[in-house]
This record gives sequence, structure tokens and C-alpha cells, in this order.
Amino acid sequence: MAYCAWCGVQVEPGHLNCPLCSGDLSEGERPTLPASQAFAREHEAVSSPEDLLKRRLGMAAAVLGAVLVPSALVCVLIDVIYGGQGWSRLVVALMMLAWGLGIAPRLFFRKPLVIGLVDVALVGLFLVAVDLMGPWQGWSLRLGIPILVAVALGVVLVWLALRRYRHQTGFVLATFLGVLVILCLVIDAAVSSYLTGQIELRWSLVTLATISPLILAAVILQIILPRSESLQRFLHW
Amino acid sequence: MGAGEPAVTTDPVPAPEPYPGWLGLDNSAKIWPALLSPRHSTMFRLTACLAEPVRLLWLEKALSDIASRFPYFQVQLRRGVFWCYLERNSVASPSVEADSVNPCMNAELIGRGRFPFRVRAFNTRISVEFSHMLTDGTGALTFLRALVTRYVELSGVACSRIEGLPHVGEPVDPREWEDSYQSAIVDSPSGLPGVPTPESAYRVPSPLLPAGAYRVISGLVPVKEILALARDHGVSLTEYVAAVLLSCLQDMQERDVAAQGGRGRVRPIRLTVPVNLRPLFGSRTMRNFFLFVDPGIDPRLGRYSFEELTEQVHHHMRFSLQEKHMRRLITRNVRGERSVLNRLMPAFVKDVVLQVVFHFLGDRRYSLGLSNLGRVELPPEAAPAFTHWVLVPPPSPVSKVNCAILSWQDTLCISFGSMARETRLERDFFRFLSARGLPVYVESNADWCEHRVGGS
Repeated sequence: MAYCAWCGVQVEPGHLNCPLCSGDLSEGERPTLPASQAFAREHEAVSSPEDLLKRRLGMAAAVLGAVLVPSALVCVLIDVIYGGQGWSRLVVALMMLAWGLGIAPRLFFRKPLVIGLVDVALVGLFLVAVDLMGPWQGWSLRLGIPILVAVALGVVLVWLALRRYRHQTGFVLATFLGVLVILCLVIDAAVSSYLTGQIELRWSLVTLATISPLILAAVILQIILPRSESLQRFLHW
Repeated sequence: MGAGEPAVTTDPVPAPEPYPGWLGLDNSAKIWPALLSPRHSTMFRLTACLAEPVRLLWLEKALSDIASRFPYFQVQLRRGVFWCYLERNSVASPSVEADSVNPCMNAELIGRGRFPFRVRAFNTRISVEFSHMLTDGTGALTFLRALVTRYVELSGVACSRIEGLPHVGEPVDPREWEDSYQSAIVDSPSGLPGVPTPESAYRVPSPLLPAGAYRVISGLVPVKEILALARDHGVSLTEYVAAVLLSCLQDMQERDVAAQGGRGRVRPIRLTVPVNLRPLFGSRTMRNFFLFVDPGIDPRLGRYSFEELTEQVHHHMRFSLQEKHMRRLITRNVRGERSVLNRLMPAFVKDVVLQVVFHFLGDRRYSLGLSNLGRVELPPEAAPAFTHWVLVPPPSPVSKVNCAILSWQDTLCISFGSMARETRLERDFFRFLSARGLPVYVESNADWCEHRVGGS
């Protein structure tokens, strides 16, 4: 009679390896494992939630690629067959953007800041590519890129505020509102510069005037609230 | 026995089977396909521990012999448009599988050619792992009893027939695959009183083990001695174990709240104890037929002494185990399933809805599950082949820890299945028993369950 050295079961003679677990067999009358051993001890692969998430993101990126590449090729083919008007270039650029946005979370796993910046860069590239497709007007550089850079800086600021002031909601809110105001100013400046050649701030100043008191209130409340018991009582929820 | 062929070689006569080609899932199984995940495998495990190492040839033969007696387990789980269903599997029975470090995990349950259960062998142990989509503990225990009885017969021991143990070759009773929930509902034209929904309960506060890992800690204690302790308090064994668990959880919550400087929230502590409904409704089904009762305490009212805990559990269990109360719960569950809106909802939408329902009304409301499958009965001739039996509860990533008990002759096995990194509850529980003079022998996969090969 043979016993498996790995899983401990009795196996009929004539086997080279254990038919159950492929472990080594030892001939003899004595079991190879103590009867008290209750559980197998092979190192089976255990996936952590991170591994699983990584795998799923990888699969999603692969599926996205498998869907987008044939679609893009079909579009190019149709465009070429029906006169070559060039619209397929826009489709291909859009699909490349979608694919880039799709694989970024897998490539830069658990790095949200890097993912955000890469996404902004991809969108910037897409805008330049679209601008290049037609007669060059430069709107991507003069309008698109400044706005995108402002958005990227805003994301970084909010992210830093969340890290630094995670438990101080007032500061986070103030940062978020401040970023919103700066974004409005940049958009207003970029649009007016593109249209008139001069930087003239208009509607963004109204936004600045409206939101500034809120920012001030958030900061003051955050500073005063922990020190004032009466205010805490009044505002409790 | 010598080497070679099994001693009993008479092939069983296959019984004529009126078993249909497919069956819908029973009422309590319908939620599980929606909840399947690497951590929520829906599987529980029963193990028969032999005195000698398992002989693989006999086990494989025993499994193929009894397959025809359990046609309702010879199925594969498939996804339909509206519900999942069980379809006759073209393969007669699954092959015996090698055991792994983590029981009840890493199972592919849905799909053609797959079985919602598996038979595993390791050293001196024969285990079956069943998904709750197929059957409950009673059904699985009946299957394992039939399997190991056949295994012992193949070793050359003639076993007598006992009541309630299916035998190879005997005809299959169609009542064994009925959905008994459907026949237990109350059809009251004036409606039924609603069932109050309990609030969220205290759960073991611990990070989870990695997905795929499941720690089992089993303690073997003498039945007579623990039963004597239970009788001292005038309660049954299940009630006593439930009271000990409540006591340990109460202490744990007190320590946690104290560690947070008294600012932590005190929550109710509630157990969920599955009750076998077959004796209550005269059912012979081998599919799911159980409901939960939920004994518990509310520590916001003050600390409970152990006497108060045993009384609380005892009276709650007695009160809940009434036929009419059970019918009310069954009717509520079956009505949900029969609602036109629910039936017309596509399966993928149902999955999302059921996940949300389970999130708010499921395991969050319970601190821990406690299953007691009672005493294992085998033909007296087969009994010397076994040392003890083990029941491992299904994993739950929400309540994290579950407990299950099963007795064989004078050995009671109390097993904790846990996805929590901490082992405070298990340690406190067994210390409680040891402090009352009970000898506890502990076996576990705790040193191995987190070992990894792949992944980062």
C-alpha cells in the first residue's frame, strides 16, 4: 500500500504519483502524516483584494482594447471606401483617448494623483490632435491647454487638502471653493484672451465675489468651532 | 482489507428516477447567486474524521455508487433570464478533490459541467462542501452519512439500515426535491402582521483576511460534560453555546468601547441561529428548508449576567420556534419571490437589487451565526471507523465570524469559521469553557490560511 506524502491518503500500488494531488508516494504500511493533522498545508494561491482589483482593471483594459481597435479599423476602412473625408481620424483619436483613460488606472494602480494628471495630459493631447486635423487655429494651445492645466492644478490642490485636512471639513471645503474660483478666473481669462486678444475678467469676478465670503466662513468656522462650546451646541447635528 | 478492489463489489441497482431535467432554486437559495464573490462563497463544509487514512479507491467507488440515490445533487447551476436554476448534469458525480488550506473557498459554482458541491479527501478526513444554493446542513449531512456508510461497506463491514439514512439502490422519494417553503405558507385574505426589521448589530471589529483565506478553529469537547453545564442552567446545548457567545461578544464590545475612551457606539448583540424546519412541517426535502431565529441582547440597557443571558436565549428560542411564527416568516419570504415585479425583473437587475437588500437587511443585523446540526447517527457497525465529525460554517465577509457545532458519540466539535484577522472571539470562547473545567482540544488552519504564492 502507498501513502501520499502530501495529502496523506492511501493509494493503490502502481501509481507513480498521487492521483488526488500529484504528490510523492511512499511505499509502506505506515501513514505519512500524523492523524492529528487536520488541514492540508500546501501554499495555495490566495488573491488579495488588491490583486483581484488589479486583475479586473487589467481585464477591463484588455476588453476595451479588443472593442476599440476593430471599431477604429472599421471606421478607417469605411472612411477610405466612401471618399476619404477624414472623419475617421477624429474617431481614431477619440478611441485612443478612451483606451488611454481606460488603462491608466491599471498602469498607475492606487496612484490617483498620477492617474488624474495622466488623464489631463491625454485630454490635452487629444485637443491638440483635433486642432491639428483642421486648418490650424491654435485654440487648443491658447484655450484648451491653459484650462486643462488649471484643472490639473486644482485637482492636485484638492487632493493635497484632502490628505492634509482629512478631518477638518472646513479647510477642505475652503480649498475646494478656492479651486473653483481660480478655475473660473482662468477660464474667463483664457476665453477673453482667445476672443479679443486681451485678458478681461467679467463673470468670473462675480463668482469670486459670491464665493469668497463662503471660503472665509468655512475657514473661520473651522478655526472657531472647536474652541466654542456654545457654537458647537448651536450647530450640532 | 487487502489491496486492490473493494470488498463489496455488487453494483447497486439504479433506481428509476422521476427526477425532472431542471428545477428552480428554492426560496432561501434564490438570493445566493447574487451574492457570490471570492469572499462570499456560500459554501459550508462537513468532515468525517476516520481512524485510518482515507483509501482513495473506496471513496471514489462510494461516491459513484451513491450518486444515483441523490439525483437532485447531480445538477449544475445555470443562469436563466429571470432566475438561476438547477439543471441535470451530464456528469454523474464530481470527482474526489484534494483538500486545500482554506476550506469552502475558491469554488467555481455556476456553469456547465460544474457541481454546486465537492467531495474532498485529506489524510484521515472525508469532507463535503456544499453551496447553500443546493441544500442546507441537514441535506449535506445526509449525503455525507450515506457516502461514508457506503465507504465503510466497501471496506468489508456489513452495515445495517437505520431510519433516515438513504441507501444505495432504494427508490428516490419525489418529496426529497420539493421546495417545502412553497407548501408552508399561510394564505390569509386579510393579510399578515409584518415582521419588524432589527437594527444593525455589533460585529467583530477586525480587518478582513485576504480574499480566498478562511481561518477555521475547531475545538473538541466531551458532550457529557458540556451538556451537564447546560443542564445546570436549565437550557439546551445550543442555548448554552449561544449564551457563551453572547457573553464573549458583550465583553468584547465593552473592551472596545472602553478603548475608545467611552465614545464608541454601543450596539445590540444578536445571533442568527438556523432552525431545521423539517420536523416542524413534516418535510422530507433534501433541499434548503430552514429559517433563522435571532436571540440577542441590547447592552445599551446594561450589562447582562450569564444567568440573564441563558434565560434570554432560552425564552427567545422557545418563543420563536412556534409553527405559526415560522409560517409568518416563510410567507413573507415566499411572497417577495412571487411578486410579479420581482419575477419580471431580469436576473442581472435582480442581482443588483438583492445585493442592496442583503446589504441593508442581511448579515449587518447579526453579530454572528450559530448552526447546530445535532448528533450524527450512523449504523452501529460503521461507528468504530470514525473519531469525530466537523461542521465548518459558510464564510461571511460581513459578520466575519460564524460558529457551527456538531456532535459525534461523546465528542462535540465547535468550529469557528472566520474572515477576521483577529482571533479574540475564538480565544475568549474556548477560555470560557476551559475555565469551567472542560478539556478542549483545538485544531486549526490558522498558521497556514494566509500563505500566498501568487499576487503581490
